[in-house]
Amino acid sequence: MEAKRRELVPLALLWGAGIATLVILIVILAYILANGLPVISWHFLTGEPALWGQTGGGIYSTIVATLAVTSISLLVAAPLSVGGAIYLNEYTKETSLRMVIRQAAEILAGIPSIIVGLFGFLFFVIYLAPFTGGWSMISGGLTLAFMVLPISLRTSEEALKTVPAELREGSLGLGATKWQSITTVVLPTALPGIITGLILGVGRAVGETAAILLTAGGSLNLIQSLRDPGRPMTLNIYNVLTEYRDTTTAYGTAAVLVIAILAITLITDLLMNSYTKKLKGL
Amino acid sequence: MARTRYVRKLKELRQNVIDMGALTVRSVEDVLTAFELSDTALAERVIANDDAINNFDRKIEAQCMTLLALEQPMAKDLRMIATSLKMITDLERIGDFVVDIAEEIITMAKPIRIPVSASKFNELVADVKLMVVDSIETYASGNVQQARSFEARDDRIDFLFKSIVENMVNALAQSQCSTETVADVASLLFIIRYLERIADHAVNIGNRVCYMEEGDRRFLK
Amino acid sequence: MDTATETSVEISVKSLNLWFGKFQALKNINIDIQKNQVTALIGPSGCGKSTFIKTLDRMNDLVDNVKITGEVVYQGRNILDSDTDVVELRKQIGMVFQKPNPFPKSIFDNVAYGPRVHGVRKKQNLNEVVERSLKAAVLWEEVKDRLNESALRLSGGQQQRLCIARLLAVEPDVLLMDEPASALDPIATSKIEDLIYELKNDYTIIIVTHNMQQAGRVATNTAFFYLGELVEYAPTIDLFERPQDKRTEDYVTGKFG
Repeated sequence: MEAKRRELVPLALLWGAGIATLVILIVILAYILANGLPVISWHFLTGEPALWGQTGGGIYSTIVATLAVTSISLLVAAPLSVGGAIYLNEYTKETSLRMVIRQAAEILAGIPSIIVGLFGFLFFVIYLAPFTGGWSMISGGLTLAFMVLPISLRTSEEALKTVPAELREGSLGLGATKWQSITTVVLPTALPGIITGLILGVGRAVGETAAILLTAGGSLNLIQSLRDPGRPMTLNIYNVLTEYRDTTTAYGTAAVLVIAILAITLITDLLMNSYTKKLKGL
Repeated sequence: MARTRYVRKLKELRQNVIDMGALTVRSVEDVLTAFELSDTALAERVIANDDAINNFDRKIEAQCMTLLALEQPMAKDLRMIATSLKMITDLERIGDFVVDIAEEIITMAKPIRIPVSASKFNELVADVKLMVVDSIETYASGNVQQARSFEARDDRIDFLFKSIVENMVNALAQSQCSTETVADVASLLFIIRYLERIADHAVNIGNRVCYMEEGDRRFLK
Repeated sequence: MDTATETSVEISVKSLNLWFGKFQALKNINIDIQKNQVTALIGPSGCGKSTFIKTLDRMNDLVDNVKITGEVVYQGRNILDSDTDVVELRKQIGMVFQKPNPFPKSIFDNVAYGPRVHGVRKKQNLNEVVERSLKAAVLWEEVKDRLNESALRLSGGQQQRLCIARLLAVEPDVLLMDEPASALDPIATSKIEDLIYELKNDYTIIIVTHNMQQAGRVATNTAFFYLGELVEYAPTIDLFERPQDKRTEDYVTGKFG
């Protein structure tokens, strides 16, 4: 009985911590959605933005800009991070080089986004302007790629590590080459983990503001090419609040953003669950 | 040393076989003493003692089966158990022949007379007795050299057996004997036949000891 | 020591030494593996028997810091030579592992895996190979109606036979088995053992086992490894009934240490 009572205190504390996390999440979501959902309408989603100096209007161009920078960052970061993870996990031995690369990724992940943005500004916007078009979707996307890369590299590497060595040996033992083993056995097995890592990265890209602020420009015009400047949703929230105190548009945009992130997370979870089940033969 | 309980059980088994052997040797000696002294009472005691030998046989067989079933004995352990399992049958058979001899002694007229050269007869008796003693001894000591000498010693015993039988048949043919005497000579023939068979079992034991000690399977072929 | 039952030699190992860093895991191993026989390798954990069979299909290449000297002659060539085509070698010398390791794919795709990576594309041919291999591994009857189910739904014993079928599909000459039944229950184990006994008609099999009774049941010859040395190599019955070396005697009677 005494032992049981002593167990009660840590149990209660842990239970409290869990509940607190849940409550905080619900409060934030409820607050954003309660204020944002009423704003959302067909016109809000597809309409032109308000003219300069006015409030209200649609956020169509910002949705497109978010899609553009996110896609670019994903297109750049996904092959790099998955390729890098494969290289680290499958081709290098546990040497100091591997440690250095992994450490570098950790540090990169820890750099404040405004500093990454500063780098993106100096490198892509200024130095590579002839290619990127200066402030542009390309500059923003590439800068975001730097932020996505370390996250998805680490998660991909972890995912590859969880693939049992027996599967690799089994494949090699059948006379498959290393590359065949990786593409036909290792990657399919690690796919759920890798995708999860990429989704985490996408979440980061969609939600990033500071780095975008310095690299994507801020034009509310609908982009015509990736070399145009644009204003992704996060930046729009920042701008309408700081410039016009337009809380309506801010809440609406926030709600769209939150719903988008929720949707992405849930849909990939669902897909990955069924994929994992299929993999496990359930 | 791993498997201490198993090793202890092997030792117990070996000791039991040696004890059973000692009991058998004692029976052989007693029955031959009864013969020498025409001692019916001793012969009867020898018959009564056979139960003890038979009990040992069952007890040791059970021990062997348990070890085989539960311990997966290998190499020398396996050979020792297999040897013991077969050897107790030899000992049990020797015990049975001892009973047969004792029963003949009881039926014979006293004092027992030997109608042929006593020296050959005494040599046969002494040789068989010693072979039985030695066979148990080789099992206990693992003396393979001694065990290998048994075949030659058995040849001598076979020779003595045949020549004594011949002498007795001749003695019977030449004399006019009473029915009782003929019956006694027949008993004597049985007795030396039993002794000769006892020696064969001692040879078996010697061969099995060679297998136990060296894995020498020649005698199985 | 070379008193083992002779037929013809499939693999001849000469003066094989292997180091992991400074640790010498194999010491001057000399052994001739007989063709179309089952050869069992026994010995306490860490005696080098697994390392030894991994050397035969160059799986030790996957380990860091390995140094190997000596020869492993197979089909007239030293497979330890650096110019050996390891991928080709592993088609001929296949390995079954301790834990069944089916790929997280369908039963069909598992067996078809080898032929596919070696370029067989025609559905017809694949169907034939899969059926033939599953039959050879005595699994066909149990799975023929559910070839598209995940291999992971099979029981442990079935998974191991699937792994053997998967190996047979690439038509090797030699099967290396690293404790193939150690994770299985007795019934599944006896099925694997029966299979091994059958397969020796067509394949040369080398099996590492901790289970001496298993070696006794399936192997013609048995080799006892101890501390990286090949202590004794003899017909299985001799090794178990009348070992020549004191260390073998102590090991098989379980009185080690």
